Amino acid sequence: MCTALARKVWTSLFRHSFISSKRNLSTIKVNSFLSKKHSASSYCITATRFSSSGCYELIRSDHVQRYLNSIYTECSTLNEQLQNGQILDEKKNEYFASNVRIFRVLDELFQTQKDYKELQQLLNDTSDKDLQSAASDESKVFMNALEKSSEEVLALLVPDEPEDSADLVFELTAGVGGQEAMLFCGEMLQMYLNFCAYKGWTTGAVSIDKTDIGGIRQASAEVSGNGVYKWMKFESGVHRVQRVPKTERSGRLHTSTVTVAILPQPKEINIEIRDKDLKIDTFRASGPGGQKVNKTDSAVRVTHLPTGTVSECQETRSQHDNKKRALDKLKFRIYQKQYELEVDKRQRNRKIQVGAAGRSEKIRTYNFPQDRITDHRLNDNFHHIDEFLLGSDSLEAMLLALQYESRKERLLEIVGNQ
Amino acid sequence: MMRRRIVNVLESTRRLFLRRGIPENDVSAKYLIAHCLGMKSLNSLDKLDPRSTMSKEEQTMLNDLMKKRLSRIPIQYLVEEWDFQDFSLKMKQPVLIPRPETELLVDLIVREAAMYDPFGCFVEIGCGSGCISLSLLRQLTHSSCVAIDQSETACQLTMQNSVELKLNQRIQVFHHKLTEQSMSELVDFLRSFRVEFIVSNPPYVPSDEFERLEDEIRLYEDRAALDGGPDGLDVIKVILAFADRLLLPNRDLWLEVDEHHPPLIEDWIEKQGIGMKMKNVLKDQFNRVRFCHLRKQ
Repeated sequence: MCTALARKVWTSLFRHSFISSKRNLSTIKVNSFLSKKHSASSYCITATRFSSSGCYELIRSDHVQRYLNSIYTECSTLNEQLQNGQILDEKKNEYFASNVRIFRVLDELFQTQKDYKELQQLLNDTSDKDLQSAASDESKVFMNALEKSSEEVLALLVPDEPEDSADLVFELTAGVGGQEAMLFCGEMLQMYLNFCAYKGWTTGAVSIDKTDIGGIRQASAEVSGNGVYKWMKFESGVHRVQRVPKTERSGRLHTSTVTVAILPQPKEINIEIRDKDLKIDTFRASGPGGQKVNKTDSAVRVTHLPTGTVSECQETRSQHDNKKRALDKLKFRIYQKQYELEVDKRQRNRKIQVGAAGRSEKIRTYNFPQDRITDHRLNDNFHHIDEFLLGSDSLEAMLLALQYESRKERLLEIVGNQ
Repeated sequence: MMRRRIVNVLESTRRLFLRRGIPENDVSAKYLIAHCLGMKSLNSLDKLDPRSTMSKEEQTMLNDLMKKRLSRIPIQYLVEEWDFQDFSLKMKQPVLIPRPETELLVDLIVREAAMYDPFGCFVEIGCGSGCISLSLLRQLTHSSCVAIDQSETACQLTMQNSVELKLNQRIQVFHHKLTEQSMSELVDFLRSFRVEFIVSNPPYVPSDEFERLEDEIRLYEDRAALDGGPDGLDVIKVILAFADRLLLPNRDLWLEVDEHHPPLIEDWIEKQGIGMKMKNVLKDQFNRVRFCHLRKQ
């Protein structure tokens, strides 16, 4: 067995590209994982910049192991029964169907674990220096595979939330701090616009409320693209900046704030709005109509009676068109209301929140003198504010960390409930 | 003449219109001022800084328009343009100004359009500004159309609008008055086209009611586009006969009519032995009976 494994190790060395034995897994440059082509569904990375537990670590925690093992054993039994030509009852069939994908990935994972253990054995048993170094390199490859399988398992266990595939509107508002807040608001706008370009997303309808003295009071933009809401949702909240303003003579540190709101705009709002639930107010309500009347007031107000949501439009000179626009706005507003209720319900107990509840929370502090960015939902600090404000890989790393933490939290929710 | 604040001009114009009994004094003032400032949307006007002013030239332009409005000339003729569905059309006195009900007629036809040959042709009788035909051409992207109107001004306006909307290749406009006598010629001409449906917003106001309409309509819009005779059915009757002769079986006629017309139309069809059947009578967005959908048997 030893020779067979040794052969396997040697041949694999030529097939895989491996990392030099001097470097340890945890110091892989972040960039190699965070290329622009990084798929939106993959969220787990193992760089040192933040929390050191990877996906595999997460899987191996007690709760999760127990949960996964129960799925695996149950599915194994069912699988065997199916192989033997047995017919399963409806409930069992459903269970198997909804868990078969995790089952297959777990199968792969457990197999890799087995191989890895054998390799560790080899490492311990041999004293051949060359074989040892080759085997230790090979174990890095196995770790990668384990991480990858773990990522897949987690993605299956903790799927995307329904609004993750939506487009979004982001709004920045300068808060307390006067001009400082407005200046930083401008810097944050630039950061986000850069980030959108970095990710290859499309921005539109950019509206900026500038001030005469520099900086901006408010800004908003629409962003569309793959996974935009999923990435940006954790930016909602109050961002705090601590720095000495350029105009400050006594070198005193000022604290100012910028509020960020991220509003999902799903591509299709599947809200059923029945005609009879709508009250439409237009100028021409009574009296004769058709050719007998010529009115120029084209304003329309639409009220959704069940929810009391109202929307108005007088943008065009066609009542017909204004009505369409008012209905679209109405749908969006009803959706927002529904969304906020739903999200609040879902997230009541979470540390990492988005939506209305999350919007007034202080989520991040940028401390310029110490060149440190602290996201209050994460354990580690980030540095190099200048680089961060460029809105590329540094911001991306933080957002990945937040996605990961959020997923972790949701995972424990799921697993804990069993 | 000094520069004046827009908010003040707006208020004084509105008050003047109110005093002189001009309908929609608020909206009239807004649209005229917006037009002088080069804007089309009332929203743009609302968004202006309250301290914005109007120049001497803009005020002069406004004064001229104000005088005309005081004579009850419709806003649409003064700004020479209006919106229909999601696009704009040039307006020109005395060509009939499109009504919102007609926007719904277009929607109703498009909704049923699956049953028509997408590469076929439709005919409009009395195209006016071209709103119906051009709106249909925008949505039925493979169709073509023949439009006729008895007013040369209307024909020119339809052609002008078709060019602006880049639809002129798909529409032919003829200056022609449809009568019992002239019908044969038109039917012969159109037989070579694959006519899927005929549409019309014919004059349907009964003559005595016409006299009681507001000045904007009575004094400035083309009477021939509105006055449908004693019962408002004169032109509709001609169109029914025309449709009966031109349409192949299972092709349609769509009409915008007056509220009390549908039963009268059904009686007429029966009495005259017209080979058409009333497939559907539909209401408009103000809940009034407004549209007839007829099918050639």
